[in-house]
Amino acid sequence: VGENDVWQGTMALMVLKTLESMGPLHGYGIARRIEQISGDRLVVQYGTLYPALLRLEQEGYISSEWGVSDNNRRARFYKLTRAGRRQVGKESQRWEKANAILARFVSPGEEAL
Amino acid sequence: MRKLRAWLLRLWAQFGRDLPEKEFAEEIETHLQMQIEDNLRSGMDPKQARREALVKSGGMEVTMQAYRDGNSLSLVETLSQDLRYTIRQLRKNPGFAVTAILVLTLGIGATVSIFSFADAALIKPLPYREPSRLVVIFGTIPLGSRFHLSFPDYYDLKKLNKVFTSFEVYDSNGFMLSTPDGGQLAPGGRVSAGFFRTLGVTPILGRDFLPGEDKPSASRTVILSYAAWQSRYGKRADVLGQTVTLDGHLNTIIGVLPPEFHFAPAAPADFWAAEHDESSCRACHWLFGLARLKDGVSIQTAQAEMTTIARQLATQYPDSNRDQGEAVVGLPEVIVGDIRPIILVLLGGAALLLLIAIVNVASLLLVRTESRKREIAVRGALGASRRRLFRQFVTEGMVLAASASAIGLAAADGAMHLLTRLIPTDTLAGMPYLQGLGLTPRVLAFTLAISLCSAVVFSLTPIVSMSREEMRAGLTEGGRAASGTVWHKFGANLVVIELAMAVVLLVGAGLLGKSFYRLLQVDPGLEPTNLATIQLSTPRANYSKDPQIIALEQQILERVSALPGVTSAALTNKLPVGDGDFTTSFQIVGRPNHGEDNEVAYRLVSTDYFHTLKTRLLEGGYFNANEDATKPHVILINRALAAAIFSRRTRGRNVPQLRWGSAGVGDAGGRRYRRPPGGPAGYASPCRDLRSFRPTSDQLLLRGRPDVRRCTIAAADAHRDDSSDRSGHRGLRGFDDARANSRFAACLPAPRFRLAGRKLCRFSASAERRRIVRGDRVFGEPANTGNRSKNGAGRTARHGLPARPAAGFRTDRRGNCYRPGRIVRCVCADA
Repeated sequence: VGENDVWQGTMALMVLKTLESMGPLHGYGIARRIEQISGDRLVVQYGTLYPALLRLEQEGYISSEWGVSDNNRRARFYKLTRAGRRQVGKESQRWEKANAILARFVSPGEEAL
Repeated sequence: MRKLRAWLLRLWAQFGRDLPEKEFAEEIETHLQMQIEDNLRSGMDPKQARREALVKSGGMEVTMQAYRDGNSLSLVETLSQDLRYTIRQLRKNPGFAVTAILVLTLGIGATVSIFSFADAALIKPLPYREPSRLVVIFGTIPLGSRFHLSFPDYYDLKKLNKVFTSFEVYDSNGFMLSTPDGGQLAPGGRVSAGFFRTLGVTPILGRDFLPGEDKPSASRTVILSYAAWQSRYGKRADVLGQTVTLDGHLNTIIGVLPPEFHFAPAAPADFWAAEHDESSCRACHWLFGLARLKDGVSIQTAQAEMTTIARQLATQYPDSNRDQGEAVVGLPEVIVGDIRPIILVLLGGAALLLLIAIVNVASLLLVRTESRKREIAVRGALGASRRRLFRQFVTEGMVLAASASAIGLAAADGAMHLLTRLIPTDTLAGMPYLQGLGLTPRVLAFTLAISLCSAVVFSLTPIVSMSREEMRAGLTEGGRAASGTVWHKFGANLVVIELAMAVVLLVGAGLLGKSFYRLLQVDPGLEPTNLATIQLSTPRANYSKDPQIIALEQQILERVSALPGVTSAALTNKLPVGDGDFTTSFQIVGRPNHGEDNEVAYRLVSTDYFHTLKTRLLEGGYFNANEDATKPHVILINRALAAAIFSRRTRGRNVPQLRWGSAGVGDAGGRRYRRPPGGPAGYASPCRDLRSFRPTSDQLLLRGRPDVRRCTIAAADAHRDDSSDRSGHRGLRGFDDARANSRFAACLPAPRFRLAGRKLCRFSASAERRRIVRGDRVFGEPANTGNRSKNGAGRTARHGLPARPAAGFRTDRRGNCYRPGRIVRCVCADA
């Protein structure tokens, strides 16, 4: 996994978060948005994005339908389902918790000393 | 939950997957185009924009593959691929496919159908509480070990034993049911009050017999079988409290037994009445005992206890109980003991057949693997992993086993019905446990198990036979079937195993065939074709005096003989080739007697009995028509008895006299004794002054044209006319059945006569069956087959015997009755 690659495990949360803030979006839009938010430090390839989208849809967190993009292209638009909305909250919390724990290892605070 | 949903969606995506993939291709194409547009917007030239976009997005093919993997289940996919491939392979090679599946179907079908019989008869528990703790108590006498008990003996055994929690009795003689159309024989049993409690059976409707309801003074009650409730009363709930007239007594219906209940020793039975007869006659035997063992008591312990008590009784009552004992036999043994060895042998044979089939198919597979070496080597070279190739073999094995199992299961279902039809109807009626026959869950599980086993064998055969080296070698050898090593390794062993099994099976089949051939060769001593029988039941109330009965029987014989198609007719108290019911003792006049009893079975017959049966006469002559009570009494004995009691020098003129029934002198001297072959014992001449001691049930034998069965209907009508009291006789059956004869050669052809349509002749055929079945089940007369009388046997029969002997008769020390000064030979049931 290169430095610029998105880790598989975090991709799902990024997609869900993106859809939560932006509303329905096509695959390219999602990829662009993620790259933007990361300050272009991440590169989203479709080899990572689309399998994640597929799994999220299979698990029922997002749904998709064909629509027309801003510049009149036929594109598949993804949006959060109700279960997906709940999942965003749950996943964010879990991520924060895991992050906090990891942070204590990476930069130990006073109590650890 | 989410995972399951995802899995199901992936499974669903297996089918018709083309559309989503096309859409996905379109989707990433859009993605690419959008990227290019963005790149163009940021000032790149078209060529560069495209290249950049492609680099950034990653390879399209890889993505497609990732998508495909994400949208499918690899296992299912390869499985369906393998399946398709297997079916293609089998189609390409129909000779192999058909042979393998056919051979396997045969093995599986045979095994499953026989197993279903084993399941119904041996595995399925009997419908009683703890059936293994139930035992049947028989009386044993020198003639055999499964005879009846007398009531006083039963009473003493019950009182003195310490091994049973309960001890009840049953008898399985049917009833004469009074209907508006006249009397009808109805199958049934009489039981003591605790019988069903001992079995652990509770009526589904109404109540069980109450304790004491079997006393002679108690009002008469009856419990219906479920089948009788259904057929005779249309499952009406208000049947309780209704009355039914059985044997001339009014009985109140108090309960209905559960549908799954059956009791083979008395099957079929429609009515279960309480036994009200507490006869004090020790020489009158008509009951069988049923008991439940106390916890921790074994059958052997119970047997020892019974033997001890029997010895006490023999000392106490030497007249009636000498040489008499009791046999304790487990109820399951009584019910399925006869059929168990047959089923086990057949099951063993079927299992061997299945094994041979499996080995055959395995060797076919082996040969086929040899010829497929090249193909497999090519697949291996093209990158198919070893595991993938093995999975292919497993799939092939499973397809073979599964298809053969499916066809085999259907074949087994058919075979089951076919096999059931091979059992004579009446014999089948005595095997109520076979009603559970069919594709039960247990049978299906068994099928699945053998199918899996064979699939494992079929998968392993090619896998084991194909080592890595050989897989590679397959290419170099250019596919020429190199049957060398593998065949040497397995094939030779397989052939040896197969041959060994085939030999075992063939020897078994040969032995069976030989036994069957011998069975066919057994000479029953009579000509069973074109013979029909009717059971007559004469109400004692209307015919209580000898002259009345004699006149009636004379009339019946005359009328029946006059019917067109009937060439001769005869009466007897029991059918030829029956069980050992009705016995008597005799002594040889002039020989010292040391107190031993010679006990033999006997029949009372009318003059034309032997002509009607077309028996072979060895010596002397048959009975004459004018041999009535005023003439000296003569008897005929069979060869077995003659050989047992007479030495060679008594042959010819110097014939000894028999003291028959230990009462009078059977004057055989005047006429020489005669010996029809076979059979257990003696045949008494018409003893017309003893009719009141004959059972009320007689058997009418008719010989005539091939369609003599039709005559039986007319004959029954003729008899009906005679007994205008509307409750004459019932029961009717054909006797000549060549097919049944060939199958159950040792027993007489099973009667399979059915009546329909004629109102006057609505006889209860099933009522008849029981008695016949009991006769048949004994498989012929002891002397013919070496088989002892079994379930149906008894020293004295009970059919309607009077509670007390008629005036002028006394009983001897064995309870046999005689009229002083007369030559008689009959066993009386009561003292």
